[in-house]
Amino acid sequence: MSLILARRTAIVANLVLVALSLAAAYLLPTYPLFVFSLAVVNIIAVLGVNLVMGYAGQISLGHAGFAAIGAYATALLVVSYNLSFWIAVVLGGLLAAAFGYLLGVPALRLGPLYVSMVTFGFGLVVVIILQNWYDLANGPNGMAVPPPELFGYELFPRQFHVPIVLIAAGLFLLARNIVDSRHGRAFTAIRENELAARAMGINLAHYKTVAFAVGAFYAGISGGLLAGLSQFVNPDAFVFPVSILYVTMGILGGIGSLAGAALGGLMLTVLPELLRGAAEYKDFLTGLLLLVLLIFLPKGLVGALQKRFGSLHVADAHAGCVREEAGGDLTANPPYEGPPTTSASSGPLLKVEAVGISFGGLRALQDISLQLGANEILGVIGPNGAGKTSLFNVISGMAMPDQGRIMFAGQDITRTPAHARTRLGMARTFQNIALFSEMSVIDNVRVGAHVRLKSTLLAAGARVSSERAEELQSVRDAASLLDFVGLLPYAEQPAHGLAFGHQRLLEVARALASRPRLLLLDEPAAGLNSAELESLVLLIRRIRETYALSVLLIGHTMRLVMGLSDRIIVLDHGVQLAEGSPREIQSDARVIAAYLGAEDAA
Amino acid sequence: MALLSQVVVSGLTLGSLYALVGLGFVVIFRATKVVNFAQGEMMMLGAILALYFYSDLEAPYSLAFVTAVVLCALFGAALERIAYRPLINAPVVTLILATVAVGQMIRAAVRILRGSEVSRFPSILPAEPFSIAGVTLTPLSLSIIALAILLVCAFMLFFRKTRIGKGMEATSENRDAATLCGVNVNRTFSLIWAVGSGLAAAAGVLLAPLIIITPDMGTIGIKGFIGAILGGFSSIPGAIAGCFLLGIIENLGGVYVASSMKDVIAFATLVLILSLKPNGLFGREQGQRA
Repeated sequence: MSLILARRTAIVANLVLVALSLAAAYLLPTYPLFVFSLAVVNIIAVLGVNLVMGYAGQISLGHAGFAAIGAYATALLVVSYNLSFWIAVVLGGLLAAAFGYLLGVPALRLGPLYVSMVTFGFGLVVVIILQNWYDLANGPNGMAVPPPELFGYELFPRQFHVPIVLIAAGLFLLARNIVDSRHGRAFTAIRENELAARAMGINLAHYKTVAFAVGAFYAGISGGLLAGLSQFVNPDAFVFPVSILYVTMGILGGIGSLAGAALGGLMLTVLPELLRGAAEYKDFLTGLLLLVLLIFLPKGLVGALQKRFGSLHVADAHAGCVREEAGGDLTANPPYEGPPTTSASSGPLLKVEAVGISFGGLRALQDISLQLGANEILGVIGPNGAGKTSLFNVISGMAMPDQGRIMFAGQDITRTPAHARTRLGMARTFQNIALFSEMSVIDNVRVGAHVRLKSTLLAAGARVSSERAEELQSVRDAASLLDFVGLLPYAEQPAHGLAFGHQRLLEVARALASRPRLLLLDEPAAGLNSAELESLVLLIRRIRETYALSVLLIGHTMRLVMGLSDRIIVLDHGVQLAEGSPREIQSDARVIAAYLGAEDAA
Repeated sequence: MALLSQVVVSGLTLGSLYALVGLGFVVIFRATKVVNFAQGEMMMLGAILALYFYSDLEAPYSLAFVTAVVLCALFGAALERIAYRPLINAPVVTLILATVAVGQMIRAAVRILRGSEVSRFPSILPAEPFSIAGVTLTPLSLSIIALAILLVCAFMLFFRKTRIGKGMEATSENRDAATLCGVNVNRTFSLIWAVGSGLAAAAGVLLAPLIIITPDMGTIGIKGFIGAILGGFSSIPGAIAGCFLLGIIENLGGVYVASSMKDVIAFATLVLILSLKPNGLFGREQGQRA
């Protein structure tokens, strides 16, 4: 079945699902309908949890706190300020988003320990404040909310079901659009590998806080709708077990899948109603279910179904569709034109001036200076512990030097963060392969192009035509790069399924996707057999010719470095031992003593 | 002034309990990088078990204390085996969620078995106050502080001096290297969870006479963890100092702001510290080797 056809079928199926959900307002008896509405409201919150946890990979134990903010803001705006319910819900969502963003600022640069503590604490504090603030909304007793009005009609739960379903469908679509855009890919990249995401020019703090803000927005809307549905708000509806329930719903359905959020939200709202047990039994079973899922079914029901039926990942299916729309053979596109020609600035592209760095008293680099001209390949070699990786990190921005200065294209970048260096035209590969392993091969390359894509979150959410055009172009560019390194046949496979040598090639393609002026290769030959090594040498030569860029090559595989480099710098114990052409280096007595003598010259 | 010193003294009492439960958090965190969200529930369980042995079975206090702590330690080791070991290679986030799930189950189970009944632990020491320099003290609060400090010191000696303790430290530093050195890592992990849970239970038993026992008293346990973050995880004495400090800050806030806002103040302190000094007040800068 063609992918476009599959997608059309999916659209029809979704429309039928929405239509059935709407028809429930006329078909179901009162109480089951109320439970169904409640499930839809929960699904909205779970979509938010899923964006934060499933896509951006951040833990959130206080999502009910955001829902509480949305619910109380809606209730107070309607009751005290006579605002229209619909405007109040949106404002409540935005207020929750603002809290999510603020909470993210200190927490998200600090790792899962702190994020879990701060989100947990936030959820707890919101409830405590609401319980004790009698003037605001009667403390623990809660407050009544008038039924929402639409065109002058009061909506009681049966009528209110229709707008709830429509809003949920809209928010589902919005979430899908965000997930399937450069922003969603950035979220997933962060989840998969933070270090590599940084190297692709993704500002971690920005994307994590944005993910939290969007996730909180969804929870806020869900809270506001809950206030309208139950016509009542009280703190008990937002206690810690509710946050855990949201998380369990997300994990049951399948974290990292939007359909999973819907499935999990529906099941865990309806099933406990069937059990009709007391709250503590529900809490116990929720906890048990969560634990069992984590151990035996970490990818949830959707994950299990995908494994069983081998369905494509949504984003891959999409890339495939774009490919079909583009007319199948993407390689027929005009060849990728390479980086924008530099303003032929007279100076060298990269200039490292007297750089030094030490780690806890150990001087890893001392007074290192080097220059790299346009279209030049510079090799850096040295025995283990010579400071090669430290030099690489200082240049790529993963470590800040204690002394010295680094100039790139005439700009001082000594203190520029790693992700901003990518924007300036640097790209790197990793010695220990750091791919986004759950993403498809082509999406890995598209993350590499992150800094070149410009669409805003709003443009992506609304799926405006310029954003679609940019996405289509990014698929074409990525496909042509994959063709260049010989990986096009694997474009839609997950990256972790590639053979080792192919993973190295994918790293190179991903680095090229940002159209760098300088390509930094960290031990690109590590672990390759000799045939793979030969083709890597050829590939790096072709890269230089095709894309007119400079290469800084770090390695101790002599054949690679000697065969490729125009010039070589030798490091030993953090100092610069020698510099010259490969031939000069090979006959340098100090180098032979320090390096070649110590190791087999291969 | 008398009020202030009074507040500080009761803050120290609270802080010594935070230190005890916080130490359990730190032990588990350093070894597994997991925030154990079930730690507070373990504390609650310790208090309830001790209450059961002491009041219902009329066991002597010391026996009730020891039995409750040992049972909780065994339970902690069992949880490690059943719930956490299968997840040892999963992302940290997954393990944190597993502890959340376990905590929720303990809380709900206690409620199912016991109802939401609120109980008081009968005081074992005279609560008759006496005063020194205008500060009112009770033998109860003094002995709690003394016992908590004693337990902390005993634990530190165990961690630093004994072979088992060193094995735990080595496992925390590097699991693979510890295996190569002949440390039985699986047994060490069981031990770590047992010790962490036992410390929490001890804190619960000591805390019991001071507050009311409810299934929700576990949130107090989380504050031991906040205290440890406040002081800084990298050094155990720093973490303990942070717990004492948190006890004092909270009590000051309770008196001068509102007693219902104690938890809010604790978390506000946490966010403030994380923004200003992420490694804690007494923690070392974490050297970031790239």
